[in-house]
Amino acid sequence: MKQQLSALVDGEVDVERCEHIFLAAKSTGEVAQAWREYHVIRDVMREDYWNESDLTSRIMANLDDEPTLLAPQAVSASEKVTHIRPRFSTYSWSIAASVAAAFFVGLFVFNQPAPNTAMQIADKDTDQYVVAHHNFAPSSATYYMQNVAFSAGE
Amino acid sequence: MSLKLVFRAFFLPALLLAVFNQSVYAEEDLWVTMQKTASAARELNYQGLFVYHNGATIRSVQITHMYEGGREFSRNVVLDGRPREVFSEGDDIVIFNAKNDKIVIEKRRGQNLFPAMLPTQLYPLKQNYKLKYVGQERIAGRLAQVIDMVPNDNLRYQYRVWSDAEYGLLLKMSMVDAQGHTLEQIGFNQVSMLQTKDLDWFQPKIDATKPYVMDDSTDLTHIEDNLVIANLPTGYKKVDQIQLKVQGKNTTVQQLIFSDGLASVSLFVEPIVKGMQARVGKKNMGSTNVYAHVLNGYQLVVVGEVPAQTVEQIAQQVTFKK
Repeated sequence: MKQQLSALVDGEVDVERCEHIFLAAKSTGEVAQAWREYHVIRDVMREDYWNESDLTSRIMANLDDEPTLLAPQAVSASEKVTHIRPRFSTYSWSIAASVAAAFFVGLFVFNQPAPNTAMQIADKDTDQYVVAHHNFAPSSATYYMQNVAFSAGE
Repeated sequence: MSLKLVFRAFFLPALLLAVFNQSVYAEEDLWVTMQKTASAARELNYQGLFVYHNGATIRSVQITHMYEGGREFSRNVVLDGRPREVFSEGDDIVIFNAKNDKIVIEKRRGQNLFPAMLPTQLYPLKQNYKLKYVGQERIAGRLAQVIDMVPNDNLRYQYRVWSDAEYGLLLKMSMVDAQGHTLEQIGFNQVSMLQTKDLDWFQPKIDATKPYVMDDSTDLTHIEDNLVIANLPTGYKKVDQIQLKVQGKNTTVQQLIFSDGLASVSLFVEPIVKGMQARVGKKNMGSTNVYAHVLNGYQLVVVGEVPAQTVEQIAQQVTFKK
């Protein structure tokens, strides 16, 4: 957590991906303190002249107000933030593909029509699509279900 | 003129007119109730416990919702299964998903979470559904007005709405198919209004010992491409388009999202590359229908909480601009 805060302050993390850090910073005194300290440390390192109390009140005001206004411009994703395996994994596809490969090698060429060679959908083929639908469609109560979506990061 | 004739000539038409007017006003009144229901979920301060049923799946969720200074805050704690906490602030949604050794953070945007399931703009719903007053029922200790949303066609399911008679809060909602089977329902077991303006509750249970990781498999930027869907099913409009990254592939999966104001459908478009098994056919899972189709070397998959003909129609209408 502190590492991630540090990365954020240093502008190494995409601001767009940092709501969780703001949420966390809002919620725990320890993290909020760390947040202030990192700013002070960074400013000292960059030799910016910022009055600490002024800085603190400004940060806290921004935290209360609009979090995305506060952080430095995004530079690039930091190595400090762990990136997990995308949920929309190719894993199950690859099993199906390896089984089918013996029969269908060369039939599925990029952007070539393959109308008669497609297989009927089987049990779990379309799970990934269903999960993605439930995750991003605007009205879906299925939000609360735990399914294959939540294998992410394991 | 006999009394009977007088009745026929004057009273009967007047009586019929009165009945007709009443039904017209009644539906308008019901839309007013629906508008109140849509707003109440967003503008009231409440706390409660609701349960979501879909087939064999049951989930209990604890909700705290507050509207303060023109901003909306909510915290949903999923009580069954693996711990999850869903936070929303306005349109931004952040999910804290506890894993064995870490917390996975997922980001969402602009979804209609229970009880805020009805859109605040009711115009699209008025085009596609008629309202019918059912009666009154008690839900979670509260008196509710029960209203059916009857679809104008077979391209969407029917919904039943239980709206708190006093506050207008959505207490329960169910989805019913054309045969009258309940496919999905979600409703409060217990709910109470919050008097406090304190936002202390708006924080996840932070475990400082665990690392927090972002799930960044989705690029939420809007994109445009050469996809054309000539005739969307009546009442459906495209509301969003995003792209999903797939690990180990150079290609991305496009997800187009359509809605009739309440029901939503996703269309996935993915180039069929070497080693990928193309799929065709359809599948039903409770309220969700799936239709897979192949076109010009692309895998199309349509998924939605809509009848089978709706997903099929969308899949059949896709073409690519040259």
